[in-house]
Amino acid sequence: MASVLVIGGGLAGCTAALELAQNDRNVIIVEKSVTIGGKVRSYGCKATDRCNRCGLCLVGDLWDQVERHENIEILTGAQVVDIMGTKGRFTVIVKTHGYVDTISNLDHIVVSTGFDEFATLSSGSLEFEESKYIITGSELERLLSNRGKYHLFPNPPASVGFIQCFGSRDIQEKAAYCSRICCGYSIRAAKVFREYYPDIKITFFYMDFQEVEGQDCFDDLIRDNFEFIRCRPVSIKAGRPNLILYEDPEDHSLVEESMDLLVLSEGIYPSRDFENLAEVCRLGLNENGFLKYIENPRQSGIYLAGCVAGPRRIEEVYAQSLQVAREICGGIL
Amino acid sequence: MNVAVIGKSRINPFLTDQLKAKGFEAVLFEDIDSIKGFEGQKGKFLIKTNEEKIEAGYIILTQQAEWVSPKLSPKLACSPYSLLDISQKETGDFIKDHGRPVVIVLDYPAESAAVMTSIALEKGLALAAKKKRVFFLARFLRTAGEKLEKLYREARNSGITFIKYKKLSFDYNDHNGICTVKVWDDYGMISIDTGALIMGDSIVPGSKIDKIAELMRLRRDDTGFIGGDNTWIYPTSTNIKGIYVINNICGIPLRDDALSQIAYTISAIKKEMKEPASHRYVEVDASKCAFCYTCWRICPHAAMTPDFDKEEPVMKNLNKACNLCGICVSLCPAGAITITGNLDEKLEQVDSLSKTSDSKTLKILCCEKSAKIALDKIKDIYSRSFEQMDVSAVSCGGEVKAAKIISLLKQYEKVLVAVCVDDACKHFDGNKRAYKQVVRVCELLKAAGLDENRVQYIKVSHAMPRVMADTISEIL
Repeated sequence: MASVLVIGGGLAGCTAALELAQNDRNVIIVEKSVTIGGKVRSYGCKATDRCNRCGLCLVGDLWDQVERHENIEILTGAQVVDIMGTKGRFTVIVKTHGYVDTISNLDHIVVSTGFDEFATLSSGSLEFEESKYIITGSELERLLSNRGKYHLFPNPPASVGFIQCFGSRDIQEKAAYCSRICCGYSIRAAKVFREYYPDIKITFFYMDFQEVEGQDCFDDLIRDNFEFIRCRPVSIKAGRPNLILYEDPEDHSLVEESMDLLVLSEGIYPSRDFENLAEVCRLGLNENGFLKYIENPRQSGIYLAGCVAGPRRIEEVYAQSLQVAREICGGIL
Repeated sequence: MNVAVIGKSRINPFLTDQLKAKGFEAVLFEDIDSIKGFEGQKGKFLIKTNEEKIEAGYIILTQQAEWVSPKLSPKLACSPYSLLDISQKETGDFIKDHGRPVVIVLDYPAESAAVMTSIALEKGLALAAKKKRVFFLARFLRTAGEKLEKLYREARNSGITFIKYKKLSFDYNDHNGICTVKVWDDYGMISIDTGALIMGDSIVPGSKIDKIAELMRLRRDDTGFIGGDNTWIYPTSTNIKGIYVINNICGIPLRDDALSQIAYTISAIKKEMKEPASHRYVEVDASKCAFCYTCWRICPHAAMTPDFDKEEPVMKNLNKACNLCGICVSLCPAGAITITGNLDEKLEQVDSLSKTSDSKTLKILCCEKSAKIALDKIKDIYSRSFEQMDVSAVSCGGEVKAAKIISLLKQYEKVLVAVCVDDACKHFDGNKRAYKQVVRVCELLKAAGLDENRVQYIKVSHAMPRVMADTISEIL
């Protein structure tokens, strides 16, 4: 029987693969790094005294289940080089550890290669140097995934600043869109900081605030002593503490403030080789570099799942990937 | 197989078409007030109206939320138009042509729902296309969606003036039929005379959603909408198997969202149909059941129902609605409920890593959805600690009874109950019920002069392995 090929073993790919496998389809996951899991595997729980609905619970033991499932074969350190054939009869060329391999007898393909983080690219508009007191969104997640019962940091900061829209909504940086997830994860992370360290000073530098939870979330946060400054800082001098230079929206004076820790709330950026990916996978690109369909997947047999198609939250990727798997199962689901 | 579509919504025609395309019979109940009674379980629900009783295997609720039109007080001569109202009408002539600009205001008096931004942008663009001068006042521009940034840019390019005003600065008065809106942005005071003030509405569940939720015993979140506050039931499920909600959050769905929710829900229904019957099931011992309705009240999935057909009324379990969480077993005052293959059996299964012959210090009862996964992550690193403990997974913290903890204390020096974080429990309040049982045991220990710290309780998620490690280190 033919198999389904899943390109990318992150949240989207694994969710789709497991759903397919549980419906008696054989699945082959091609993952370019040494292990499946993608970005989400290193994410942390953002519960305070209650769940803050970051969606991570949906992941649970997904990676274990995928690794254990008899219908799923995982190729790590592997990359798809070319796709040949048509729906029902694909043959894929895969490069692993220097070898080139051919996988045939594939009837559908799921493209779920995920995204890149903006911080890995150089930033033109905000000057700063690298420092361990300036962390990115993904470093923040790693911190949270390692949260202990009483401590989050070995040396807790007294003040934290969040720089929102880092890399997003910036035409000059060519990421003109809103990344959709950063307001969510940074607010939840800030709440976790507060939970561990009730006296910590939290400041957000923002332009707009997306709806995180419910209609009045912003006002609720202000009541909880989160400070919001509506401006984009001019420069950051990394150090201990960091110095942030910004224009105070109240009186338009230039302010230099010190903050022990800075978090760059970076967004979702298309993967570096999006052009090649689009060509190989017979997909189009939208104006932001994310992949999109140019042919109905029911005809082409090639589906998109997850952030490769644009910024999506964890629970959205989960639902969408399930849906893709179910469509592939076709007549059954 | 009938699928009942309940509620008044603009997506109904599309939904019923899709259902038919996938081989279902769609039965529409547009007016919720016409539904007088409801019973049954997934696969066989019974919906009663004045005229008839209709059987449906699955239910999809599509009732639109209500929107509350903006009101300003004192009542203005030019009282504000409701944005949602206006967005459903033709742009044309509802706004008299007097040369004054149109002012669209969001986020007053409270933050508007995110969906308002796209509605307002579209309306603003439509007005600008008719050569109206438009001012768009908001505290935030919520463009976290596909195509919304583009829409925003289009709106700016069309000549609409965007003003981000400060929260408490919004002010207005009217004079001779002209409304003057005043706001303060960061640079100064802005005053606009307008004859057409359009304001964002607030969205509330409304009486229809209230009614159907109560009738079907559907769980609601803090704001009164059905579902929504628990990640496990995302995107369209509810606490009851076989009942789904689409589009409940807003009167006007973001088109893409509604379509994908519909596709997802229909596939979820098909999947649910395929779900094999469980080998475990809940049994009520009729000789013990006191018919106190406790299990009926506390079941998070509305899976207990009174059975009046027996000689004496007794509670029975709807096995297709049941999630086997075990909360009823734990809380039945008469101990009349059991799950075949219940907690006792599970306690006999010992984690393979630990050595079974010696007596251990610590017993951990952990929720399989959270704590168990976190424990598995630290198994290798903390193998020495694992030698001193036995681990048993439970399907829900709510399954844990005080009596069971006490009997475990005879074998183990300490017991740790590790369950899900609040609002992350798949059975909604199972974790809190576990807490109550732990508190009861601690009180009994204290009253007996024993160390109440022998029983510990912790709430974790699957992604908190170090918290589990820290807790275990503390205990051992």
